[in-house]
Amino acid sequence: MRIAVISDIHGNRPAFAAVEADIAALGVDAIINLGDLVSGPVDPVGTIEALMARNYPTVIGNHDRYLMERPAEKLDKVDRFVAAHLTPAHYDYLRGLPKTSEVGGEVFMCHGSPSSDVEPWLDNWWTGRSTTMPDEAAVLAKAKGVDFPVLLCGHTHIARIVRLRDGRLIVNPGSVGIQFFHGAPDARYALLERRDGKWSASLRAVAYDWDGAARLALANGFPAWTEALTTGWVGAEGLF
Amino acid sequence: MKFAVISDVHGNLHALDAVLDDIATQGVDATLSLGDFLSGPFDPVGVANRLIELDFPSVRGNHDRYIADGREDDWHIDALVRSQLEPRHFDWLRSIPATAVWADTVLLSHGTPRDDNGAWLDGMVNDHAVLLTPEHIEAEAAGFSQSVLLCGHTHVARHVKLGDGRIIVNPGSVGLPFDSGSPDAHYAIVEKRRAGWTVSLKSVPYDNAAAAALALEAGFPKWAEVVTSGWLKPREL
Repeated sequence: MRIAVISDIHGNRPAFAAVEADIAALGVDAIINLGDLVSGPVDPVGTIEALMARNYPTVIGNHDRYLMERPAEKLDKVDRFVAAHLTPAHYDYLRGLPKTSEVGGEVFMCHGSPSSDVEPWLDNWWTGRSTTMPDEAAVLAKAKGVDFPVLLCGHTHIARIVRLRDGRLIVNPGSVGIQFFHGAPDARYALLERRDGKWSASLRAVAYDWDGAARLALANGFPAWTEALTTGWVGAEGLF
Repeated sequence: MKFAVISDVHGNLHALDAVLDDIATQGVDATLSLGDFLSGPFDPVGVANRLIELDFPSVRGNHDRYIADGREDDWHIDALVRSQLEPRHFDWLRSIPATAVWADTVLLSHGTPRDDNGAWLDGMVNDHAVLLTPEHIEAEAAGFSQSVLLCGHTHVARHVKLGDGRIIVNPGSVGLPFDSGSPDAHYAIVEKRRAGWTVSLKSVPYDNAAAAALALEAGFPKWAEVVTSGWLKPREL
C-alpha cells in the first residue's frame, strides 16, 4: 500500500504537475491532499480546475477557509487576487471539503493540527530565518485521542517525519508550491508505505520549472514571489 | 543515475541492515557511505565487518579518524570501540579517504569537504539544529564543481540547492537519530531525472528495541534512549 501525500500547493500549477508526474512514475494506490490549494499568484485557477477534475481526498487549509469566509476587503492581497478569479463552481468545490478526514481507518488528515487549521504541529513558528521542532510532550499532546497509525499535517511548509513512542507516525509532506527558508526551491511531497503492517515514510523533493512559475507570478503582479519560488531561501513575510 | 547515500551508522548494525534491505528494493546503481561508521556502543565490529564486505565508495568521518589515530581529548565511546577492533579493522579505517568523487558527478564528504568535523548545512542555535546561512553554505562549496555534494556529520537530513544549480544532500543518520523526533533509520536516494535531481529522504523503521538492548547491556542507557525515542540531543550523549 503506497499513498502520496501532497499539501500547500498554493496555486502553483507547474509544481503540482511535476509532483504528479513524479508520483505517476512511482506508482501509488492513492493521492491525498492536505489543503491550502489555491492561495498563490502563479496559476490558482489552473490549480483548482485540475484538483476538481481529480477529486483526491482533500481537507481544506486556513487560506481555503479565508476565501470562503471573508469578504474581499478582509482578505490579504494574494487571496484577494485569487478570489477575483474564482467562479461559483470553484467555491462550491471548496465548500464541499472537510476540515479533517481519514483514509481506511489508518490515515488521519488535517491541515495544521487535529484541532486547528492555523496551529503548527511539528514545528514552532519562525524565529528570524529558522524554525525548530517543538518538544516531544507538545507534539504528543496534539496527537492525544487521534487513534490512527498515521497522522498527517501540513501548513508549516516544513517537511518532517516524527514517530511517537507508541509507534504512530506523524508526517508533514512540506509544500508542493512555495518553499520557505529551507534552502531549495524544489516541490515537496511525501510517500507513505505500509509494508508487513508497518507504516514508513519518505520525503521527496522534485525539480520543476520554478523560473516559469516565477514568470507567471510576476505577470500576475507579484514580483516578491520571484526570489521565494526560485531559491527557497525567502520567508513568508511580505508574500501574502 | 540513481544512488543511495548512507551516513553516521555509529555502530548500529540493526539499523544498517534495515537500511540495506530497503536500499535493495530501490534499484540503485551504487550506495555511497559518508563515515562515522563505528562510534557507538551497539555492534561496531559487526558494522565494520559488514562494510568491509560491501566495499561501498566511502569517506571517513571525524570519529573514524579519532578511532584510528587517537587524539588527546579522547571520547570514551571511541576508546571503547577501539578496544574491540582487530588490526584488519584499523587497516580498513586508515584506507578510507577524507573526501572522494564518484562517477565524476558526486563529491563525498563527512562534515564539509575541508573539515570532517565541520557543519555544512545545520548548526546548533539555542540547543536546536537550524539551517545555516546561504553565505556559509555557498562558501564551503566553493571550488567543488561536482553536481551533487554529499555530507553527513550533523545527523540532520536535508537537501539544499546552491545558486548555480549544484545540490547538497545530507541523508541524516542511519544509526543515531538524535533530535529528529523519530527513532527510525534515515538515509537518502538521489536520482537524476529529466527535470533535474530528485531527492528522497527516507525513514526506515527497524528493530530499535534490539539496538537499545545492546546499548543497555554495554552500560549506556542514554544511547538506549536515543535509539528508542529519537528525541535526545547530542550534548546528552
